[in-house]
Amino acid sequence: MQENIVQLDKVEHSDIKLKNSLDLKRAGSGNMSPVIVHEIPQLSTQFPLIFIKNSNTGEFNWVALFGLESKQNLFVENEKWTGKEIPAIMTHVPLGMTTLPEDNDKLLVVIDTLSHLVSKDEGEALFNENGDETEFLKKRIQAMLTYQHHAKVTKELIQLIVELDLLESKEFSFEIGGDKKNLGGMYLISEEKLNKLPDEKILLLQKKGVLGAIYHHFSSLHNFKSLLNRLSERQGAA
Amino acid sequence: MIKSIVIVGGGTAGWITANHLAVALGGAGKSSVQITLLESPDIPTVGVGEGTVPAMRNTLAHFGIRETDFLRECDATFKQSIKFVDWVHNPGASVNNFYHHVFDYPAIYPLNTVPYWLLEPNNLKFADAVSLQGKVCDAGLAPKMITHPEFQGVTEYAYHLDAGKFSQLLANNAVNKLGVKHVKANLTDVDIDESGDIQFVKTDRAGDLKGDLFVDCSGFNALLIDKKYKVKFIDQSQHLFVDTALAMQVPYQNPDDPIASHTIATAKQSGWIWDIGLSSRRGVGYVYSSQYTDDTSAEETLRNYVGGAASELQCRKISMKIGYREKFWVNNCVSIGLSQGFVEPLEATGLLLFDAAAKMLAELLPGHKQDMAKTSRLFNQRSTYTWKRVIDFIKMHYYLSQRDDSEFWIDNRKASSAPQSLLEALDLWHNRPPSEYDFFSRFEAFNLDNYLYVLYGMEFQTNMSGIAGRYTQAEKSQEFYRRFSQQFDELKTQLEPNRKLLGRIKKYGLQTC
Repeated sequence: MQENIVQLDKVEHSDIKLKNSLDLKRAGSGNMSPVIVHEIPQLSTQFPLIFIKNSNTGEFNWVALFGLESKQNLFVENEKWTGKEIPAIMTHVPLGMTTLPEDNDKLLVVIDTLSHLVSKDEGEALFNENGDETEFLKKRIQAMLTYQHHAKVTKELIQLIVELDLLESKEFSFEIGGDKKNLGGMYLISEEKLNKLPDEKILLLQKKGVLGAIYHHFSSLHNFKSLLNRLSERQGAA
Repeated sequence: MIKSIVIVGGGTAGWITANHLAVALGGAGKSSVQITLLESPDIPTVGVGEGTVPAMRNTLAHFGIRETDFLRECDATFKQSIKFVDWVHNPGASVNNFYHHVFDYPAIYPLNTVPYWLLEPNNLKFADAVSLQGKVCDAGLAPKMITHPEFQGVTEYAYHLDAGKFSQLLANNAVNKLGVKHVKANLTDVDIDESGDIQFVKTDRAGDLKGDLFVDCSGFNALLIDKKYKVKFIDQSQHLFVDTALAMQVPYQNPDDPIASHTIATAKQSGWIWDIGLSSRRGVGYVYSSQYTDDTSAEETLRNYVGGAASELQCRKISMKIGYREKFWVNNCVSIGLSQGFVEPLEATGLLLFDAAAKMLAELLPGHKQDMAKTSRLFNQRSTYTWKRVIDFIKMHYYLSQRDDSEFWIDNRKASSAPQSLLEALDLWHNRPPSEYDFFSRFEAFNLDNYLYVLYGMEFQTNMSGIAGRYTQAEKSQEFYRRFSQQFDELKTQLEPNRKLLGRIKKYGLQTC
């Protein structure tokens, strides 16, 4: 898949239109997506919400899992999303928001111009004739700004979980079509460690609004079973 | 009851001892024992000893120090091996005149491949036949990834560190987290009672410090063990000839110059040069024998090694007395660090020995003063054993050399210069490879793995003729060699250069799980 991610520019992109749909070739190519704490209650009904280490920074990310192998997405079929829920960040594509490496406070809007949602004749315009942002673009940017804010809060909450030493490395072993397989590199919150926390730390987790998310994390783990069901259906169909 | 301990000296040995004792005795606020460290504001620390061995990882974790903090604050880097250059043959005799003494344990389980390699070396260097770490080092790769938790990696590793900054980190940990009292003053006198025990030490600005136990960490000065108790020093210069060091701090030419993932020890005509890469600079030094060369030629050797960068740099001369004391614990006084003795830093023995001695003291410290004599006998016996074994191991690096390009090397290779215990061990290994039964103590400073890497890295000849018929799984051993080569090819794609990983850790930190 080819990409061309560039900063959105009112001159260069004055005549670009965007179809209001999902680009799953881009957003759905992996077996996971980062999540923000605000969407954890809904997402926990459908996906295992686990922690993984970012391979660039080693820092923990909270993610929704879509498959049991890398690049396996059991919620994409014929380029359609078959889940009832979807992490918000996947709906931003082909737009995106990023920070400059030298200035973490400065946010940039970017676009992947090679997405099939980008065209000259179909979809919503991004800029009007005066070169101003259209209402459509304004809404999309607003959604991404809100997301950035929520992502920052999420990062702080993960930091709290790490500081309280609640995570532990886990493997998920499963059998499919007679083959034994292993999903590693995954971290879960340890119920034992959580239960041993002193009262004031539990209170801190509750006040910061992360205790609820932790319980949604626990209940989300039941969805490993539905991932397995989806996988065996897919293999049965093949 | 032993209720108060006074440590004299605030270098690395003093602070390592303070941390070990404080952890073992129960930590801040809860312990029934008060530890005080007396540091002279006027005497500079020696501050050499920038290499460590993997046991340092356990020590840091034991002290409750985060690996991230340690790496950031001590300009520390990862060390996976010592690369010995020009030790086996005269310089220029071959392009491959080096060997690695790596930290990964050689692959001797489930199949011990050592005898197979001895029977058929296959053009493989010994280290490459039993581990992949030599290749990892030569490729300049780090021993771990950013996703590895603290103190864990793909390969075994230790650190290079800035000794001054390390002392500072240990001091902060001991004082702020473990409740050690830090007194800055000069020791002026030592008061001994009729039984020979130290009652208190006098200081110039902090009054008298009373204690039940005194630890002499005052370095070469040995204020208590030598100046007060006059314990005999057992000179070892008949075995180990080097007695002087010239040290230099060499800045990197470019901020992103690679950092070697191993110590480089290059043998020269009258000694050897250490080359240690920290994140901020390199530490380079020539350790030589003043019997075989003079200071001017030694400095020239060092400057030639460093090259153009050396022209504006100063070097510092340190004189050393090689040997150890007859006793390390007398009455209620224990010596730890350079006050115990000194041996050239060829195998990172400095911090290794400080750490081992401090750990032993922390573990064996009796509760009552009347048990001190028994404990000191045990401590002295164990420490003497350790020193003797260390001397053997260091001497072996010289004794096995085939160099004959200077008197220094010719004399070093004479059997008359080697300790009897080394000659006896080598005599056994002339007809069979070393075995775990040759290293029966759990607390050997250097073990089977260390000996294997150095012996066979140095082309030591074991005559296999009497036992060759026992080794019937040659094909399987070939498979092991192939596996290392495959594993390395895979690892190469995952590991990144030392400096790159260190930069990432500076920025993001390592996770604890």
